[in-house]
Amino acid sequence: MKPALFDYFRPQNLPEALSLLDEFGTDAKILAGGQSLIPLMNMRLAQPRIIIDINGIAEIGQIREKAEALEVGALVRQRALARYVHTDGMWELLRLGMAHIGHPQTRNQGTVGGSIAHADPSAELPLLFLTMDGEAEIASLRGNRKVPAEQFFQFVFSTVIQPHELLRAVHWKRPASKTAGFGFYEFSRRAGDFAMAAAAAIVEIDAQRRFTSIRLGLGGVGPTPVLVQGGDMLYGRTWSDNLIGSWLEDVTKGLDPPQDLAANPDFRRRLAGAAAHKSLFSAYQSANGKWEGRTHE
Amino acid sequence: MQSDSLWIGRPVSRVEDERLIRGQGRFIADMNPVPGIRHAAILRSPHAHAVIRSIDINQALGKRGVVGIFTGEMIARELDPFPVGVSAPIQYYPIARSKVRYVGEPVAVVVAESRYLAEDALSDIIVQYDALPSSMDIETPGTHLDPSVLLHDGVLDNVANHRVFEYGQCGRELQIADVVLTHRFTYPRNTAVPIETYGVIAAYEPGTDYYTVWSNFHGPFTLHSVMAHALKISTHKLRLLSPGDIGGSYGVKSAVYPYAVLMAVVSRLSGCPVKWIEDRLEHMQASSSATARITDVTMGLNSQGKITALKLVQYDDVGAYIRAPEPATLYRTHGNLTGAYDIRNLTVENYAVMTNRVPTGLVRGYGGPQLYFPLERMVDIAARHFGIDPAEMRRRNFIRAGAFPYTTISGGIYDSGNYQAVLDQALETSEYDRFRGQKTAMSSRSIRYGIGMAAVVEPSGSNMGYVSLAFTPDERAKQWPKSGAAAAATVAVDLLGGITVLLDSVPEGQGHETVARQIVADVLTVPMEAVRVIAEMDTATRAWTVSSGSYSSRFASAGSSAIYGAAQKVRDKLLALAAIKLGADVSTLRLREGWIWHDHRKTVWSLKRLAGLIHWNPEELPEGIGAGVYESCYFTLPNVAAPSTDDRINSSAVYGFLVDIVKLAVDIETGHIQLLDYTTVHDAGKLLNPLLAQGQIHGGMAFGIGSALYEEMVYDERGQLLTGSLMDYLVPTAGEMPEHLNLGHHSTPTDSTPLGAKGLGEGNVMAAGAAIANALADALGVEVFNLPLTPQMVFHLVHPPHEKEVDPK
Amino acid sequence: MNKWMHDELAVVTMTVNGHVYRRAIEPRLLLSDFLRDELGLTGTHVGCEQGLCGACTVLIDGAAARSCLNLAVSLNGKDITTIEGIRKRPQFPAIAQSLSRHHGVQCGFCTPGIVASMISEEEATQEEMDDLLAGHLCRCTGYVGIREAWKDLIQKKAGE
Repeated sequence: MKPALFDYFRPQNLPEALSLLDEFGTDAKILAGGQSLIPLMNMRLAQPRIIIDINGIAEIGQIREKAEALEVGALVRQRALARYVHTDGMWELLRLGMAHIGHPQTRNQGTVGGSIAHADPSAELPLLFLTMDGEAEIASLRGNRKVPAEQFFQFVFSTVIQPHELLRAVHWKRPASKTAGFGFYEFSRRAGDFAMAAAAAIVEIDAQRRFTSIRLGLGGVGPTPVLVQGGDMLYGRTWSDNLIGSWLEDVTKGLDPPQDLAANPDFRRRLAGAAAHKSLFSAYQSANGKWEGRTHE
Repeated sequence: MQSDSLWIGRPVSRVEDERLIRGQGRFIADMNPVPGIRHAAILRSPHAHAVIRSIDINQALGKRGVVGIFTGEMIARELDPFPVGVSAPIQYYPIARSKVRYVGEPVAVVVAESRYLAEDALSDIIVQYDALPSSMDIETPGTHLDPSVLLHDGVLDNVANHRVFEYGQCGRELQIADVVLTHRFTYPRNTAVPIETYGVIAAYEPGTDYYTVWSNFHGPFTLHSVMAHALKISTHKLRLLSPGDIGGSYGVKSAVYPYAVLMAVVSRLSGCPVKWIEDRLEHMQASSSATARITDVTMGLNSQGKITALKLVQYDDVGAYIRAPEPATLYRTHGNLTGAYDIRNLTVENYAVMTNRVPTGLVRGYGGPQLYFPLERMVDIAARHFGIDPAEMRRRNFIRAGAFPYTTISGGIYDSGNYQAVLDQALETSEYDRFRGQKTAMSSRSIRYGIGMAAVVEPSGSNMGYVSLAFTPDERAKQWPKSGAAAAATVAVDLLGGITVLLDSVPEGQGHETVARQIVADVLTVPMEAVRVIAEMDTATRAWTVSSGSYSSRFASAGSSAIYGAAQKVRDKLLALAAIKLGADVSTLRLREGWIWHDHRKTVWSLKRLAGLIHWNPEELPEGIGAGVYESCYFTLPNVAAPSTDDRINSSAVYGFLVDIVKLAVDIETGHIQLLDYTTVHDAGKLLNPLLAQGQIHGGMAFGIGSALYEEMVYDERGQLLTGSLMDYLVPTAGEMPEHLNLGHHSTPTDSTPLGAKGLGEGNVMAAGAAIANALADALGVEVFNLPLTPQMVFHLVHPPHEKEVDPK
Repeated sequence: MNKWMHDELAVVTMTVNGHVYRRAIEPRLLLSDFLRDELGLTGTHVGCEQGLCGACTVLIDGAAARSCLNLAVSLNGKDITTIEGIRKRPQFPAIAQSLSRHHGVQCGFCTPGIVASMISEEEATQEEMDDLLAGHLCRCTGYVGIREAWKDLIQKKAGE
């Protein structure tokens, strides 16, 4: 099918875009990479009255190195970010997770900000954003505000961004420790499909290989990505399959995953547990490897 | 066949490739064959079952760019219902009249300046529906459904067709059998998903009442008469054309024909040529699909594991109407219902049941996967019952190599084969015994390994008569008998020796142009480059017949034979002329490299000179040699008679054979299946082009793997389709294909076709579901009765959601 | 700021296969339809308009992308290459030969899109190739011939 009619605005700078949003609010849809919006418009499932095409706003298309974070403008393409962080071990989790987004042909166009603002609970970028403790910079005519990822997602396809606001940039926090290990695991029906369940993990361990920090995020298991609590119970312990397994059993019991064609809630809990286990194991292994590397230096 | 063939049997690269890779293929959407074309969009039913109370088009008529809007009532008024292949009184029109019966059924058509504008107007058409309850079950015949869920007046229990066939003494044999196994299997609804959707361009000529319709229809051309009947015109007034390039079909585009009729009427009513290119949502929802089938199988065996009797009760979900050629899914395999096995007692009970889903039709394998999934699963279940290896179980029951031609109990005539040899080769290639020995040791905490097989008799070149098995012998006696598996082709030589071949096979990617070149170049002893092949179809100018088209793997058997025959007619005419000119006996003449040779000497006569003589100087032609070199051959395969009065039929002209062996690893925690490798060994007689044969097999495997692991059209209980986009209906990508594919051939010669070839593009679709399910059952030690084997389903096999189901052995 | 209301026509200028085109179009016109219907470049095929089949893949500023997931108006000033431009490139004959030799084409409907992906990343590793190929649906070939053809090109490149 073909899109319905709309009024089309193409602002050249941020203030122009913000005043349009201020004027039209809920009637307007922002067109960034279009990889989620255009299919919906093609099926006429979305028939926005107004399209605000932000592709002409150069100032939100940059990646900037900041002291504590990487500032990624809302218009930065997923592929561009993946390439930017490609060789830097610090951003390994981002790289691992982003490899699962759609296909290169859609990552070439899809934007980092667009995916996060779209807030599909089974998409990779929202999960990464949450797990990596990112921060959203939201602009409006009334000024900018910053929202930590943990407060950003509200429901399926819903975030704290108000109709008059625009996601200006996403700040990716640099990992505090050089020995942090990263893991990402996803179950999808086919390569490139949205996750039935996905897990992202950041693990830090001490010289005795005891957990000192665990950050675990789960995707596809609820209306928003989920940051798992209670990892601190494992601090001071070393890896054991049983230890992790029983913790994850408790964790997944507490989830309220959706029912769809691919998986019912029970099965999805199972998958989430398996994905979490696998991602934690990779993260632990990678942290371990970094310690080994350090001993050999 | 000539023994000195240069091209037939060689892995020649395709002549079609260059234009397609360059983006210069000419597909239906690329065509604007007449000026003044307007664009159609179709309003479709959001309900699975409802009465149309009213349709208001007034507001939509005023929209920008709208040329006309036509409701079902306005359109159907101009038509007769399509003839259907059963005696039940079912009125099938290309658009809903007063009642909708599936989600996506056409309700009105908008014609506008562009597709965009036509879609705009759709949203302004106001339809009021009175929803009815939906009928979604197919296992309820005889339960006297509530009238509100009956789809068609006068059709009890929504059963469009019911027939019982008894061959031998099945009932008695089951009573005395040492072992009787009974199971129910479900084959899901899946579909073909060609990447190009349906497309139609229709132009009506008022003065003459002629319709010209371009579409990506590829036959069977029996349907030409079905279309003309619906249009209430004599057949010569309907000219159907298909472009030379069609973007895949795998059977499903045969069901574009209702849209050809729909757009033909719309062109007449709107007074302009109309183009309709189906979009993906329409295609998934409302084009066609394979039938889902529930099969109750009862198998009787003696103490040695020899199958003595087989009873099949088959319930097909044919959707909301029975659309020709359905209920053919039930009958296409009628002659080979006993598969590769020597089973002499057979009972078959067939039900075609209508539901509030899209009508069904051809999808690659047509009837084959629905048959072989239960049959080949049952053989494995029986093997497990006897504690013998599935390969050995098959060996004990195979038709012996010396028994060909073998007539099955239901009338199939298997022309040639050596099933043991094919199985042995497959076992060896797949290192079957080694893997079986190692698989237990290989398994880990959550990973299990399994190996499974399926042995499939692959029918090709279907008998036009098999569809009439839907009628009783008494009903058939009142009709004209139908039989045959015919094809036509034309070979022309122009005044300077240029050679053109015209096909009736309407390929959608199979490479018929290439194979036709190979055949004609061989017969006329010219380079392949000297032969041009036209695959475009045109019912007004091509040689064609009722069974023309591409379906039932008929090109290798029937189509290529017609080309071969036409080329021979040209050759014979030229040789006859040369014989007169040379004063020689024709038997002493040969064509060699385009020249006439007499005994062992090259003469002064070439193909080009002979053709030139015929065209330029017909006055000089001797008695008996007519002007022109334009020879058509209508070829029909032997042994394909109409059904007998005792309901036996050789439902296909030739029968190939294949054995697939699959190794897989399954994660019992996540339900994920990884195909480790896939072995397939085929007996398709002589391969006309091994490269293309390989492509057909690879494509069939991917298709079969998709149907086994990923693909299902899922409906909810109200009849809403839940898998309407390519996001939900999962077609395998390259990432889902197994890394290791082993492909082998073991050819037994057949003399049923002049070139010795049989079809092979569908066998893997018939085998894959059974082979993969058998491998999974082997890995898990749990029987499998449904497809597709999704992670969730596999997980539930390992961890039953409720009480563990007891297998009634 | 550019703005076009409702069915007002937008003026776009685009370089397609090296030619500069200027057209007045509805802002809702998809790039795929712009290429096919406005410019007559029918080598770009439309298979789903959902971004999932990959048949409509073209190069936008050199990168492979779905033409059905782009509004033409949004690409004002961009450089687009379709199969009609790709086939004039010096790398094309090797790709075409490889696809044909390995029987990577059957119906050919998905082929121009796949060729666009193939040419978009000539330095692709085998892993990247698999990733790109998974972005295309083909129902004919089981991907075997396509994969072999592409792999062959990558290996030849590596051997250079």
